Amino acid sequence: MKTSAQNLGKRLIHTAPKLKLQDEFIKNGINGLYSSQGFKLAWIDYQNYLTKNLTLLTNGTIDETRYPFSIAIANAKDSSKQNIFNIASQTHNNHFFFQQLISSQENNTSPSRELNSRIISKFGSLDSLVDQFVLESKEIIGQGWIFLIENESKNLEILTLNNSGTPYNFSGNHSLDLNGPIGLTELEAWESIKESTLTKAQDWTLPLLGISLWDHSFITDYGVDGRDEYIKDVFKNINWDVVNKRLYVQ
Amino acid sequence: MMSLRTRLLAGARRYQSTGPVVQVYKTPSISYIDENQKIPGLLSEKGLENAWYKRAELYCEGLNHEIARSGLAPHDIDVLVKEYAKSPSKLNLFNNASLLSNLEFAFRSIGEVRSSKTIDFNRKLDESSILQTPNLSQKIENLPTDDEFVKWINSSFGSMLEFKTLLLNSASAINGDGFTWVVAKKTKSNDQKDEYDDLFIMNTYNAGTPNNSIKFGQITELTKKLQELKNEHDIHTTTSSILSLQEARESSGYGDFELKPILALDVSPKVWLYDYGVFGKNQYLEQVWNAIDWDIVQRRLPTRSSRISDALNY
Repeated sequence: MKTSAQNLGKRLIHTAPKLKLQDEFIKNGINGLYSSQGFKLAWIDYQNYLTKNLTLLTNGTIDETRYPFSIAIANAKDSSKQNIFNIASQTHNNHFFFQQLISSQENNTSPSRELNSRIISKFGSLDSLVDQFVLESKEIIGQGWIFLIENESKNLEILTLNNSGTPYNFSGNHSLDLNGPIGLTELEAWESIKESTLTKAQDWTLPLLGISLWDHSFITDYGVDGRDEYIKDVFKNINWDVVNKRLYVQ
Repeated sequence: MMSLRTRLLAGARRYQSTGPVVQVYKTPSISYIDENQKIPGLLSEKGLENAWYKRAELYCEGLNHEIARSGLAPHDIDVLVKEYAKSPSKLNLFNNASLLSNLEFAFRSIGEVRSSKTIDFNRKLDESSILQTPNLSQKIENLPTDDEFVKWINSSFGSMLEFKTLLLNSASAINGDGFTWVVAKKTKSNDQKDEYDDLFIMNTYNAGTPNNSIKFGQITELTKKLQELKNEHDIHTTTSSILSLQEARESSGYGDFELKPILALDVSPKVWLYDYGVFGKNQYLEQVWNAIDWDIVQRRLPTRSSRISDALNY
């Protein structure tokens, strides 16, 4: 009884987690990707902005003590809570992104044997995976995310998300951009999302590697026209030890 | 969900293209920008490079590429937007044309900042700005000067303060890329002349166009087509409480009416992030209000419906 009473009175504010190599990154940036200033905007300032806003939005509600991931999933389908979903999903995605980064100079990590063989069988090679990322990132003409994901059949796929979409559930993917001309492909995709929502279809997607396509992540060091170059550089700075652990291995 | 993803991924292939590229489209020249190489009080040189030059160049490159690839005759960008607003096979062409058109319109709506407020781009706002007490002052700087226009604003929005608040809040609410517009809605007068009744504020996202009428009907047509395809396969469709795209379009006031844009504000982080920092979106919006060139906006005003202006002429 005492424990549950304590839980009832529990308050929480969301704060930006500290990265393992954060102090070094602040001082020197992430070699091969971020200057110190670029890192500060993309992680320190932006994550701070996101967590501060998440605290203000969830204060005194059921979401107050949840992790950003759970807040995003819980609010993904509620059209009246998209402001909370956006901030929570963005908070989770940005942390997911920065967790996997390491200085390219000291990077001697590589995909595990299992992951490597799956990458080769799906994309041909690691280099073609990078090319495919650059190509498919063009689906996102504004802000967004691109993920390498493992689907329910344990196959690898690339997933592009608009704005603050989440890779975990189709109802929060925000993969469709319906602002331009719409074709049967888009309409069918929309109908498919609608039907899956109604039939409460399960989505067991798990992200392995994610890259932020938000201006925040590259404007300082690459400029608004440097996104392709930035994506290629991110791959040189991937800590594969982190990514390998995200892969489901039986 | 696999089939959805596969279909979405198939869409990505339309971006692969090669071919000789002729430089038909070039960054438009806007004299006050080209003379200063910055917008005094609003954007620094580096900020402007990101906000305007690099983006205009990117969209022009995209247009040149698509024109070369498709073998289409190059037209004025607004003609392209109109022509291909319902052509998914020309998505990339439409997107670049629409983005360039929107961007140019937004940058042709503003000029030098007319305000006592100056911003030091080297000292960006920090986290404390989130918790700051909101400024409740009702004083508005940089007001429009034309009496008829002010009357039109007051009758459409209630007051100048309500107009400004709605405009900046709409802009602030855009999560990613987009533009916030002030538009006039077209109506027909008794003698069938084009007139405009109320002013409205609307948002467009990514490459969306404020020109509603050119997109009108495409969902209805597509839904019919899709239904025909489905009937062929005799697939059972579920009725649902979730609005179909078609219903959503119809219920949210989209109709076959024309909107004439008179002002656009660009809300993309590409504009404000470099100079104003992560916490600076609203600071940028306040400042961009002070940079609106009302003389230009007023020159864009169409004829106001005499019925309405007479009724309110008190």
